[in-house]
Amino acid sequence: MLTYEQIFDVLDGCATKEILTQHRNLLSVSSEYKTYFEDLEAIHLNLLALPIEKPSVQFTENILANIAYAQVKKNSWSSQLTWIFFTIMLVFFVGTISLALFYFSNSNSVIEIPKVKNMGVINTFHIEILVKVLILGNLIVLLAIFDKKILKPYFLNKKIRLS
Amino acid sequence: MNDNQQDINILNRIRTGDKAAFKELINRHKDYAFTVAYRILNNREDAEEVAQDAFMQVFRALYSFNADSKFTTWFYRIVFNAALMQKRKNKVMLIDFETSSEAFQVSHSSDSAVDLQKNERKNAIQKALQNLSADDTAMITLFYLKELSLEEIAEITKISAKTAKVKIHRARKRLAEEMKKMLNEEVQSLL
Repeated sequence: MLTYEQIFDVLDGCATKEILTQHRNLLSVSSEYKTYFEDLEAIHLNLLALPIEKPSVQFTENILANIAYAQVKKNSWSSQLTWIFFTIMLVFFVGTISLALFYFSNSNSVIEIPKVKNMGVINTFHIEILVKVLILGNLIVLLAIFDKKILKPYFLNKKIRLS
Repeated sequence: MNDNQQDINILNRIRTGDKAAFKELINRHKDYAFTVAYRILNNREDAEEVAQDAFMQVFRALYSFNADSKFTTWFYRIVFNAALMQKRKNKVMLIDFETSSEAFQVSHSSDSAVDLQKNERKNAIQKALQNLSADDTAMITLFYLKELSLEEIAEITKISAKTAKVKIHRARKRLAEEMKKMLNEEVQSLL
C-alpha cells in the first residue's frame, strides 16, 4: 500500500515512475487501496472545484474611501511637525552662523582661551586639534543623518520608479 | 504580457498618482484575497475587513515593494499574515457556515440528482475545511486557489518548499479524516 504522501504525489502529477507503476498495480489488485485512493481523489477534485468567494459590492469603494481619508489625515499639519521643527532649527542655525561671520569679520578683539591654574596637562593640551576632531565627528554624524533621512529614501524611490 | 508584468505596470501607474489604477488592482485581486481570508477566518465580515486592510497596506507600502519579485506572492503574504493575526485575535472561532452554504447553493442551484450530490459533497468539504486549524486551511487554500507553486507558497508562508509540501499533504490527510468523521456522525444520527 502506498502512503498518503505518495498518493497525493500521484494526484498532483509529481510521482516518480516507480510509484506510478506501484499505484497501477495496487489499483488492479487491492480493492481496499482502490477505495482509499478514490476517497482522496474525490477530495482532491472537490478542492480543485471549490468556488472563489465574492466580497461585498462595496468592497472596492470602501478601500478607495479609506485611502482618500488616510491621505487627508496624512496631509494635516500635525504630521508635518517634524519637518516644521527641522526648518525652524535650520533657520536659527543659518542665522547664527551668518551673525557670527558678520561680527567676527568686523571685530578686532581677540578671544583668549582661559588657562586653568595648577593644571599644566590641560594648558599644554592641543585645544586646536581637539576642536578639529570634534568638528570632524559632528560632520560625520551630520552626513550619516543626511544619508539616512534624505539620500537613501530618495535613491530608493528613484530605483523603484526606474524599474 | 504576463499577469505579473501587468501588476507591475499597474503599480507603476499608482506611483505616478493614477487613482483608477488602484481601483484596477483591487478589482483584479479582490476575489482571491477575500477567498484566502474567508477560508482562514470562516467569517465574511472579518474576511472582508482583512482583505481591505491588506489592500491598504499595499497602498502604504508601494515604494517598499521590490519590482523583481512577484506581486501576488507579496500580496498573498500580506493577506495570509493579516488573516492569521485576526484569527489569533478572535480566538473563538465563529462559524458562519450557514451563510456561506446558502450563498453557494443559490449560485449553484440545480435540479439534477447528480448535481445535488456534488453540491452536498462540496458543502461537506467546506464544512470540513472550517473544522481544520487555520494553518491547515491556509495551506490547502493557497495550494488549490490559484495553483500556486510550492516555492510561491513557501515564500508566502515563510517556510521551505519541502516543509510546505509536507504541510499540504498533512492538511489534506486531516481533511480526509475530518470528512470521514463527519460522514460517520451523519450516519449515526440517521440510525
